[in-house]
Amino acid sequence: MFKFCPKFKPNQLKICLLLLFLFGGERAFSQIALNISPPILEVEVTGGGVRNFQIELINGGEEEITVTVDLADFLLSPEGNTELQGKGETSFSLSEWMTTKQDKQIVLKPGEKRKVGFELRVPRGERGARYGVVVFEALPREIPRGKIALGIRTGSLVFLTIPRTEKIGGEIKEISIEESKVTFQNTGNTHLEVEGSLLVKNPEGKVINRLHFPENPSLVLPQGERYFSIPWDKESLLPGKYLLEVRMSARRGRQLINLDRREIEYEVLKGGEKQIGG
Amino acid sequence: MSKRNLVLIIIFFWMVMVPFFLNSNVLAAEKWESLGQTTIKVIAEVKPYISISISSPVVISDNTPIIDFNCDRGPGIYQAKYPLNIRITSNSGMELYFEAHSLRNEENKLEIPAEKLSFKFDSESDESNLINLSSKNAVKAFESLTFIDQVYQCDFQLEISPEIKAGTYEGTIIVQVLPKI
Repeated sequence: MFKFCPKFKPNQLKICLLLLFLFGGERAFSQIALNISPPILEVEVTGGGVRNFQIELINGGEEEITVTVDLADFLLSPEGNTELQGKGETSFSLSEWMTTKQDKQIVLKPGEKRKVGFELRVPRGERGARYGVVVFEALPREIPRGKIALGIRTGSLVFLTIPRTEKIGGEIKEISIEESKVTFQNTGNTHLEVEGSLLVKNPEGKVINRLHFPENPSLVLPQGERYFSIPWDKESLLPGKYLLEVRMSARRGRQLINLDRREIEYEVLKGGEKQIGG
Repeated sequence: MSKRNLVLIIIFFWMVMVPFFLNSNVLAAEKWESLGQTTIKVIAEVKPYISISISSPVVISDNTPIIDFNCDRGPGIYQAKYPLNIRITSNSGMELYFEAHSLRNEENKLEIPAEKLSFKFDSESDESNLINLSSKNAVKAFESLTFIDQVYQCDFQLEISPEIKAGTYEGTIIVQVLPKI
């Protein structure tokens, strides 16, 4: 087994290998790293206005990396996940209003820092808010045969508000007792920090319990939907009739704006349950 | 002592002590200056940031980390030869996603769908913690609502079902970090 190294006894070689593993193994781990600042940019620009901003990139790894700079848009899924979309693919796209003079690819040496400048130009007559993302990717130059290569992607989310043109609105689309879920839709033209609760009332309207949704508060983009789950054990409700009221509101600074409320009748039977109205 | 007197005493102390506490720093600074000392204003700007780093003991020529599977025992679930280390640092909330495309064999135009790839964190023995990747969209691995500085060990698995033909397949996985909003 150890023929290739005749001067070492097997035990000595094992010790050497152990020492190599303990003290010489650090360089064996190749690392790629990317640091961006700021990750979120909130800007207010009036129609016809221009705003310049910078994003700082740092190669925090030990290898030289090639970073691709891209402009894209994003959506929020009803579960609250951020989904990157191609340029101009969303109805509230911002990427088409953003430009950069920076080359599409930036080579960063280990530890190197670079500020990338962008210009945001808002056309006249536009209203509400827009959302875009500056994407930075460090992807492998080649994919080796029979292997899975890894890359990293990060980005700065850009929120643009055109002041004094915001329209605030929202509605409860669905209350599903079966799935213990409430679907809310932002019907305005700007993002909202939405929170809500479910009030369980007796038939006389007296509040028995108030359940705040665990997703509170959640950001909902214009025309976007968001699911809120009802944190209850509906099996523990005693047989009888109930009124269930969902209230949704949005927080704007210190102000809490009521957006929508909806009431349904609900009856728990001895052998099961029944939703009367909706 | 009557209640009225007690209330008056409390109001008097309140009126005397509140301005004292409010101005104590200013007074202290003035006292230092009168003793021939100067105060130095310290300003520190802590910028918001997100940092992602990935490392693996296996690399290719440009030192890009890779994931390597040796599927040599027919159909079954194969563990990647080495785990992937992911370090995330951020002073605000963040979300981690994995995005994968089908593994391809270009010579014979064969594919292994991304759904056959799965991952779990920190050698969790419970297989129910396995999350499958998707060819349709990036899959969320986890999120943090507050600051984070954490290293995760991520184990990848590949399921080889009988219909997958023998061959050499390659692909990419993108580790994506975005701010939590």
